[in-house]
Amino acid sequence: MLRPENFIYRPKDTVIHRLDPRSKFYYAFLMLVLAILTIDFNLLLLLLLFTLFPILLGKILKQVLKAIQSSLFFLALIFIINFIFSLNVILALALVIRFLILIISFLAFSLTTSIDDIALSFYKLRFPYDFVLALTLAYRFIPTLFKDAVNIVDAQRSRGLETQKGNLIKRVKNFMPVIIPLLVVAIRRALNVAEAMESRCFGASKRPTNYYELKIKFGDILLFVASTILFIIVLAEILGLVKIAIV
Amino acid sequence: MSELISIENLSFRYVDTDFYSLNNVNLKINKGDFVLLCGPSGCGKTTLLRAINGLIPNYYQGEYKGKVIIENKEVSKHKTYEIAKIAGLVFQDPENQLFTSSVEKEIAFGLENLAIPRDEMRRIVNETIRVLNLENLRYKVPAFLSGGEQQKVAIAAIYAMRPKVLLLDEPLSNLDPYSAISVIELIYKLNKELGLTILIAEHRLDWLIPFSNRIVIMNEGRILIEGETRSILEKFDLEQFDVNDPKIPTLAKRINKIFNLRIKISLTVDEFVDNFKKELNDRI
Repeated sequence: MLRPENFIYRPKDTVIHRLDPRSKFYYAFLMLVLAILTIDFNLLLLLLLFTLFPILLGKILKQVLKAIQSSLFFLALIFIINFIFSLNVILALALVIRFLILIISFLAFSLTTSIDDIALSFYKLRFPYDFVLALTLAYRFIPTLFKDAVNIVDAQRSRGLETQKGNLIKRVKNFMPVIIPLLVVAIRRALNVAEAMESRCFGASKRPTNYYELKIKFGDILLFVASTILFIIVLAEILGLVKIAIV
Repeated sequence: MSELISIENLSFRYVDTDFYSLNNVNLKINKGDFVLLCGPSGCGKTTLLRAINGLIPNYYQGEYKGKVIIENKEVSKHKTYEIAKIAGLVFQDPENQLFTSSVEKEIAFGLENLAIPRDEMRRIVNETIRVLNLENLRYKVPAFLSGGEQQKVAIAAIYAMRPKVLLLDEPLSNLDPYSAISVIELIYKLNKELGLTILIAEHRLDWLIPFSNRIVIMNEGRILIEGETRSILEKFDLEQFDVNDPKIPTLAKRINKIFNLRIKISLTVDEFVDNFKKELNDRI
């Protein structure tokens, strides 16, 4: 079962949480590129090991494990399909590890970075304020709309709606009495939110100021340099320029 | 006391409706007033608050007649944000008015929009949090607070812009009695200690009459009666205006009628007991 709370940022005070979102994203992106470029089992294992540092430093191991648990099905699927087509256990495992690296490195970013910081990075990159705010609002209202959806499902069930019976098409059809009220509720909320924003002087300035500040600190430079060096070394290894001694 | 808001012959009809939600409304509100706005649902309370805040006619379109003047500014001739800075509006559902991921950021939201420099903004946010005793909520996520806490944060977020008037549209209707009372205490503090003028639309008169100095009763877009809280309660039974009679003043009136006494109009239990004692002592 996909549980949204395992993928949601929770405020904590750790080295990783304090890092600038841009440097964290840079790290996650390089990991992604490397994991896609190589298929070497040992190299992927080494990369997987590296992805563990930010997880441990950021104290998000529990959430990451739960997230991996909810993607076990996909991991198994990747393994089985690749094994059937290649009959090579090592290759199938390597692909599973590649997928794990992708999950873990992006979780290290998304679980330790608040949406405010992400939005602020976009704003600093000169994205328009409206776009940045839309991003924050979309994220902010996920739990609220989720709660609305649960309420509507409960209300419709108490009126006799069957959501668990029948084949797939029938089930989707049964969900119409949920979708329509949810849409209406969402639109009504959006109008109220717009009204409340007007009342908080939205639109008074084209370039509003920011309460929080993004600052490149020593840790960010360290992460930037470390991931760049790692990237260069691994890239060199992939291209056959150097040989790293791995067991 | 000087006049802060002046509404003259205001009528408003929303687009796509065939009746006037406000019908020739005249009202003056002074600096420092705590005005209680009541009336049955759909009587025009919300529309009146929107008209003072500038949402009408800027955000809601419709047929607009008359004038609303606040601090020498005619509302219909200014942008919403220019008026919202002076008259902040707090809504019924707190969840729809909290947009950010921490309470301090929420309080700063209006200030960000007004492009206030960061140092100044930090000073105002700190002061707001200190004055309104929200220190324990500072880093929490607004979406996950209790209803009462959310409503307090919503009020703080408006107060941070240092408005002259705080308009509240049924702020207590989603709250349990305990949190409702703590929200009322906060509103009262803003009025009494910080000099904010309050205009609150609410059905629960019992809780609010001890704090208000004026009552305005509306129905079908018109103001039926308006005046000083005690004199209104003395002169009228509010039931006739489709408004629930507040219990304590009604109790005094009933006892007076049955036992032929003259207990003074009282707004709280303590006041009632005192006045009752006085009346009995006078009689004996």
